[in-house]
Amino acid sequence: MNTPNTHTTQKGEFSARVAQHDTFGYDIFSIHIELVGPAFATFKQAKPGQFVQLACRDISNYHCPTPLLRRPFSIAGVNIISEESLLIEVIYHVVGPGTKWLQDQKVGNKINLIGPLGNNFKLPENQDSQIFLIGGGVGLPPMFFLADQLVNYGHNQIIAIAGARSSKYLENAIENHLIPIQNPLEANLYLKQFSRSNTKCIIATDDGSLGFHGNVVQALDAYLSKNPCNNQAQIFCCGPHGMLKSIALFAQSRHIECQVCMEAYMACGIGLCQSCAVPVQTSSNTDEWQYKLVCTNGPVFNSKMILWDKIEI
Amino acid sequence: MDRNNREIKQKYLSEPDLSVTLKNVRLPNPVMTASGTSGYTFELRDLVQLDQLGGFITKSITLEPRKGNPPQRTFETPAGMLNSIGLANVGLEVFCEEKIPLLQRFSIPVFVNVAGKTIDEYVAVSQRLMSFSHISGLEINISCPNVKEGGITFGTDPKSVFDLVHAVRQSCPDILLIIKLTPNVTDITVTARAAIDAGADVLSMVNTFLGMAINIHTRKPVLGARTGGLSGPAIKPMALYLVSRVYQEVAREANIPIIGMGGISSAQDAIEFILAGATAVSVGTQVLIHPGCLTQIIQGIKNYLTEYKIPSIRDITGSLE
Repeated sequence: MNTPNTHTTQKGEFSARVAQHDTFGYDIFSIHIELVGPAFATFKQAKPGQFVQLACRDISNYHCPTPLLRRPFSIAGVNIISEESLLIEVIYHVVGPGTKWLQDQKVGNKINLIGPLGNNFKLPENQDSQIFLIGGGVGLPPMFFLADQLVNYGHNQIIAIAGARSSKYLENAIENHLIPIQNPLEANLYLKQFSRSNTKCIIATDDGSLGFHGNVVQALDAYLSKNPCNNQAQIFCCGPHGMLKSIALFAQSRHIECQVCMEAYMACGIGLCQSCAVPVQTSSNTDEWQYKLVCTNGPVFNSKMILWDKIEI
Repeated sequence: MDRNNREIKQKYLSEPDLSVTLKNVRLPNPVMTASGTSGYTFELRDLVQLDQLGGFITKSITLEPRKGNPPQRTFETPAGMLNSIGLANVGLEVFCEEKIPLLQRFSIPVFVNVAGKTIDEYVAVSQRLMSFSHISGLEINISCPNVKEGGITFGTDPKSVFDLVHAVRQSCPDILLIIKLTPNVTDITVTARAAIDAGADVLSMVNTFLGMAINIHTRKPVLGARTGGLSGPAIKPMALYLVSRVYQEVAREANIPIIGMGGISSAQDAIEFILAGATAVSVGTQVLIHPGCLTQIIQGIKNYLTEYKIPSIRDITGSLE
């Protein structure tokens, strides 16, 4: 048609079949949805950091359009199962009517989705870089997918830190409860979704019910004082704004490069409605800033570019 | 073979005519995007066959770039959505440099939505835009509820509506002028009449209804700008009523076409607006959710006309009994 010729389709609106639905933790579930045909071709290209917009209702029911808007979810993994079919994993916390609807979906049900959306994490060029993947709560899913990709690309110095308010939010994903009480900072294969890429992780809980007693920044700080890293380190993280801000400030104080995957209240997820604005510095002068969109300019940003003080936390 | 050809020809001839005209601009069908919900140009190209639409209306352009309002900018309500984006846009210069060359690639009519703080700003933006021959018309947003000076203050006072439309009309005598009305008035026929008297060619109606939501835990408004505009299926009956009233009391007699909008999600909704008096319709919030709805609505209208053996969409415009 009359669109610019260079354009290739990077996203689409598809119907997908629920292939598997598991419990991840208390009120947190992991859903695997199967994409075939054109959806397979599109999603084969999906990268860590990207997300999908799920319609948490029957999209063709005009009489009861509730919840009206789609809900954005990070892609937690892409598993190619044949030459024409793949599964994407989405992990969600039941917090409202949209996620409640998702929870009710059985294997075989259809879900309408748009994706893959947004930008992606930029991998370190040096394979020996010490990499920290930090996820808090349902900020973990993009870290699972990123671990898969990093390992595929030959990175081997990866430590993940999985933060949760309490052990119950991770309990069904934990494979190995034998975290040494004397040394909770010893990374190991504790979480199923990290173990598939052989990524060792540290678990940190706010209430100390499992692993390190404290938040992810405290865990990282404690880990680094025990294991000073000589190589260039890089942090990749996702979670609530307060957590990301703390990690960003910590990273800056240690001169560690840090990429954050931001959450935001979205309506469309495709750059139309301008809902998911975050203040981003546009030059070295912090007075020069713009709102950027989490959905299309992000969700991944260099942590130094975000004006954290302008974000209500 | 001959018989086949005959059948094809017959089928072709019996295909209903969906085209409509807004004064001198012909739309291949009555379904357009609504300003602020479909981007500047080709943002939707992966998800919608844009060349199948009746027309494309861009988001609002102001003279200077605007950052927009502080988040939170949208909030879901039952069957609706509050927004207070605050006309965030790249500004006229960047729009002309970066977006207009892309707009040239549309094969369907393109309309640019114009907003401003002062009459001079509206005039300056409109004058610049009318110099681009592939822009089929300007939709003047006198009804944005989300910036202090940005439109609604013009849009609620009939005298201001007249002065603003008159000034733009005088400076842009030839381009199609669509005036987008706010529903946040006591009597919309008064502002509609003022716009027509001042030289409006087409009325777009309606913009969003003012609303708010409160977080009872923080006791603060949910939206960063405190209030916002309500859109989506929740407002459809109210928008439909206003279109019907303006059509019957003002627009029909003045022979001014209406672009109807407000919560349109399906072909059924679109047909209701057309029966009520809209020549064309715009789809907004539903595009944010289900972009594919645009072409489904066009197909649905076609099916409706076929089912009732109505040769042209124009036969049913305003045919509400």
